[in-house]
Formats: sequence, structure tokens, C-alpha cells
Amino acid sequence: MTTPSVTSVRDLREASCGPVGPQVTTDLSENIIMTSLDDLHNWARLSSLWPLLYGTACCFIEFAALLGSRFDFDRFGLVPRSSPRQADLLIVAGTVTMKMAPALVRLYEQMPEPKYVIAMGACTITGGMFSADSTTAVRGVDKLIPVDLYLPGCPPRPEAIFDAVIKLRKKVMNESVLERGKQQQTHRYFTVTHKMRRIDSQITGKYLDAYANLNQLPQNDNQQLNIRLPEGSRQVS
Amino acid sequence: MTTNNSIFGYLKEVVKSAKYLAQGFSVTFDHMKRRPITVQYPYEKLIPSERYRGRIHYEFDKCIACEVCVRVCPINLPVVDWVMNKKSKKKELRNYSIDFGVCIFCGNCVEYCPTNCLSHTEEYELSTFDRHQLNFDNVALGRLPTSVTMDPSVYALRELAYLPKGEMDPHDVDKLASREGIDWFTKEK
Repeated sequence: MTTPSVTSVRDLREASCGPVGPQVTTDLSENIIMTSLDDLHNWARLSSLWPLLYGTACCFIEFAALLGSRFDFDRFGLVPRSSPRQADLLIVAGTVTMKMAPALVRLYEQMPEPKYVIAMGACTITGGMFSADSTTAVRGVDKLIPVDLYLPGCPPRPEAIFDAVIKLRKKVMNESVLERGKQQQTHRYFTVTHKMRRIDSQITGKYLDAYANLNQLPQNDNQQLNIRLPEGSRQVS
Repeated sequence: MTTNNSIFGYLKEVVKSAKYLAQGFSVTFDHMKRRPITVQYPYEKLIPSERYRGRIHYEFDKCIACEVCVRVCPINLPVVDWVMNKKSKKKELRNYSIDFGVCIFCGNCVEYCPTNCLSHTEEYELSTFDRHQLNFDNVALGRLPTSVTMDPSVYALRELAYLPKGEMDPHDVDKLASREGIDWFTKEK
């Protein structure tokens, strides 16, 4: 069996993926505006998704590559915004830590409706390589804010971000003003009815008081060390 | 004499500034005859480099369920679901999955797989609306992506490092022209 050449495979695919269906309708739809007000509204919205310049780690380096002329994301109507009040799209680029989480939620809540979120990179989807043993990483930003699109990669290529934006545009195109109430996420925060009990902290700070008073330290061997030892501990004589 | 001097000095300054203007504009006009370097993404795509670490491809039949991929993974990510067949005393592989929402595409599993059943593809367009769709099972991992060069709807562009010497524009490059520093046909440097 011989493998077909690249050009023959291309020709085969081109022949098989041509437009199927009545040609009249295609001609009609390409020349006459057949649309509803919804479509017009959606088209206007999807062609100007203004992203917030949000980056906390290495994913933003790839995102910044989009700003340049090589990939040029202004072609998609994405105009970078430095204020959340002017942005429609939040591309969460980079690890979100517990310390950053309130700031991220605040930024999200400052954005005007309708707003969209792309979780970019493994860290924002699940915590990525920090998901196993990190003490600070948030395991996925969808625990903080509703996410529309998950974009895996560590970090993703700039083209992959375009792919995510194109998929998001498809989502925006399918929306309707009348159904906006249904699209609101009801369970924004991931919470389960947990069975944890509140207990007192074991860190009381008592161990710090032990040698705090230097006068209590024994001056010579005859003086006894006057420290109250915790109960049950063995007295060394 | 003094007025004559000042007029001459003024003209000298004018000529000097005109020279600087011409220098500045020569850069601008030099750029005008160039083609934009923008990759028109959905219509044009860059060919990922030959060692690009994209989505992982997995061949179920080659896998011996040794779990080396799990051990070399920084986060023990691959899920190898096997049972011991007590009759034949051999491992029976049931399922294998990798969650690309967690994977960092480091390629350790590909490097250490003893039977070469793991490999990287050049696929990077993985974004989904649902996080759980990123968890690929052995069937999804076994699918091969459409290569950029095979896709009729895409104009494939070479990356800058793969262009012939002195070439900056990938659009009109001869398909058979070798990259700088190596001859692809004689395999000589």
C-alpha cells in the first residue's frame, strides 16, 4: 500500500468538504440580509469583544504576543482594555492564587454585563501542575467566577487563544436577548454542604511566651528554671 | 556681514533637518514595500515545529500498562486502569486517560514510554466549553489531528526559523526550498 501524497489528500478533502445543499439558498443568503435584530445585535457584540488586560504569570507572555503585529488580535475586534469597566471579556491568563482570588472576583464583578470569561492555561482550568501539592493555588478559576471557555495548554500557543476567541464568538452568536435570563449562571460558586466542624486552633502562641522573660532564665546551676511545663511532659531532673 | 552669516547658518540648519527627515522617512518608506508579517490565523496557520509538544497521542494496543508515564509525570496525571488477569498472570488494560485541563505538556511521559505508545501531535486547538471534555480517554487520545499542511482550507506558513537564508516572508517561499543551515534532501549541513 502506498501512502497518498499531500497534494492528493488535499484535493480529496477539498472535493469532499464543498458546500452541500441547494445552491439557490446559498446565493440568496450571501447577497440579501436575512437576519433578525438579535443576529445584528450579536454580530455587533461579537465583533468587538474587548478583553481586559489580565495576566498573572507566563500565560500572559503568550497573550502579549497577540498584541503584536505577528498575530495582531485587533483583527478580531479585540481591543485591549486596562479597566474592567470597559471590558467584555476576561481572559484569565496565569496562576490565580488564594491571595489574588478576591481581586479577580472583584475585577469580574466590575465588568458590565454581558461578560465572558476564558480560562487560559492549565493553572486556571484545574490548577495544572499546582493542583497536586500547592498550598496557595486556586484549583480552577471556575470556583471563583463562571467560565465560558476552557483553553488548555501550558501556556497555549497564541493561535490557540484565537481559536478560543472564535469559539467564544460562536457562543455569542447563538445568544438571544430574550433568553438572557436563562443564560445567567445560577450556581456561581462551587459549594457543597460540607460536614466540617469548627475547632479551636492548635496554635495558641504559648510556646513563644516560654522564654520571653529573660529574667526567668537560670543565671547559674543552683537556680531553678521556673517554667510551667505542659501537663504530661516528663520532668528532667 | 552678521546678517549674511545668520542667514547662511539658518539655511545650514534647514538642510540638516531635511537630512534627518529624509533619514526617518526612508525607514518608513522601506517598510511600505514589505508585506505585513501578520499570520491571518484561521486562513493561514503556522506549521508547528517538528518537535512541537501538542496534544498527546496514545496507542492503546501498544500500551503494556507499566505506569511509567504516571511515575515520570510531575503531577501523576495519566490514569491507567488495568486489572491483573490471574489466569494468564498478565495485566489487562481497560482504560487510559489524560486530562488536558491539568496536563502541562512537558513530554516526560512521551520520553519515557518504553513501548513508544505515547507521542505528541501538532494539535493545539483544544479549547472547549466544558472542562470535563478535556479529559481524553483512550479513544479520544487515539485520534489523529488534521495536519495544517493537509487541510485544504488553510494556507500553511513556515515559521521564521524554517525559512531559507535571507527570506523573511513565508508566503512566496518555494515549497522545496530547504531551511537555512541544512539541506533537507541530501541531509548535509
